Amino acid sequence: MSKKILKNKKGFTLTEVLVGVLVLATAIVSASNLLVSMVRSNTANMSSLQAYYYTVEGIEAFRNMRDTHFMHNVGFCGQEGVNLFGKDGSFVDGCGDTGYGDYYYAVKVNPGPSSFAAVSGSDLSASSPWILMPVFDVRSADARVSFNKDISTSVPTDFYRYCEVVPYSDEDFEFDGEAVEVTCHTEWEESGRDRNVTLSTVLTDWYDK
Amino acid sequence: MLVAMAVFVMFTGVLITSYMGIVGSMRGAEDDRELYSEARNVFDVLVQEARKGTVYPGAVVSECNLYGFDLGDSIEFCSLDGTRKVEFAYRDESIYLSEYEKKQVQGLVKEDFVKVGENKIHSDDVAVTGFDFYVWPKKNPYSLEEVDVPSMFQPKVTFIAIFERPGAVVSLVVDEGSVDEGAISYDLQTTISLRTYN
Repeated sequence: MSKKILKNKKGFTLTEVLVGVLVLATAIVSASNLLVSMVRSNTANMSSLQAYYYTVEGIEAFRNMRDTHFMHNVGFCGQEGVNLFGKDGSFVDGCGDTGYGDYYYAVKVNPGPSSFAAVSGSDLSASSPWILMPVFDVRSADARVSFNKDISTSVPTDFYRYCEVVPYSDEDFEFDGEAVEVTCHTEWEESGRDRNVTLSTVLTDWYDK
Repeated sequence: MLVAMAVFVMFTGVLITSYMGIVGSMRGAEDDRELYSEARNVFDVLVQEARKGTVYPGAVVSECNLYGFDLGDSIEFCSLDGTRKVEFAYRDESIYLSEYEKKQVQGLVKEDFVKVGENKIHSDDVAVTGFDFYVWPKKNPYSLEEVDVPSMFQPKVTFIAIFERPGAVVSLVVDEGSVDEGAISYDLQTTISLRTYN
């Protein structure tokens, strides 16, 4: 048996070598593609998580407005260019049809220390930290909310967020000005594809009867 | 013979390089997934505690952060009934969660909080290289002094954290089909409107 093997001096033909190389190359390319997909999937997961929390922030902003209005015993109104906070006379109590369902809103929050009671306890500006602006083109610069990659560098991310508010009613609940459906979207571009995260909730007790 | 050896060496080189690359990328992807998991868990804990409590003292709580105080590197959330509080402290690139309770003695709730435990809310494999929180407004809007101030707002807390995995080389898909490698950090930001209605 061993003599037979030793005597067998036939090597591989060129065709056999080429086929072998082809099989090997295919395996390597497939594994590489699989890895690229895996890495891209991981990156997409992380982006989705970032977008999710930005979207939660948008929903929470409307909840915060609702509670602030409730605190001050006033109703909701979405007039253009009007700061919706505070009893400063800048908005009408109970705005009827205007402002309901006509707009997308850019909920802008200024996370910079100048606008918050920051860790350092720095002074606050008199302006509201939540700024609600009606926007007609959600991809416009007005609608784009800049989220910084790093607090210290102020490098903007690719994410932008907008929200829409519509009166809420269903077969069990007739709209009477007390409930609105808030839907917030965070969109971004990743590897040449548009991606988004959308969250929606119904907030009641908007209107002071 | 020499040609055969050269071909063999080339083949072996390609194989080893490919294997090393694949293993390295898989390890990077694993690091990436772990970072994702840890960051998500940390923010889940922060958000849950913020929704369950309040950062300023209510009628019965007297030992939590007041608005306008320098919050330093920690923030505390009191339960609405005032018998429990948690503290998130940031030190050494880590976030620690400490729990405090008011003990009951013969049916009466004692005034002082007693620390019942402290845990790091992420593993040692993850570093939090930045953690900031902002509280708005500066003063308790439900206090008697502030209740009639028209510019008062419902309280909210903003969290911003930067997560890194020290020593890990995380793969990034830079362009269609190409992979670049390098250290990476993820930052998360969100705001919670507190469920305190006093």
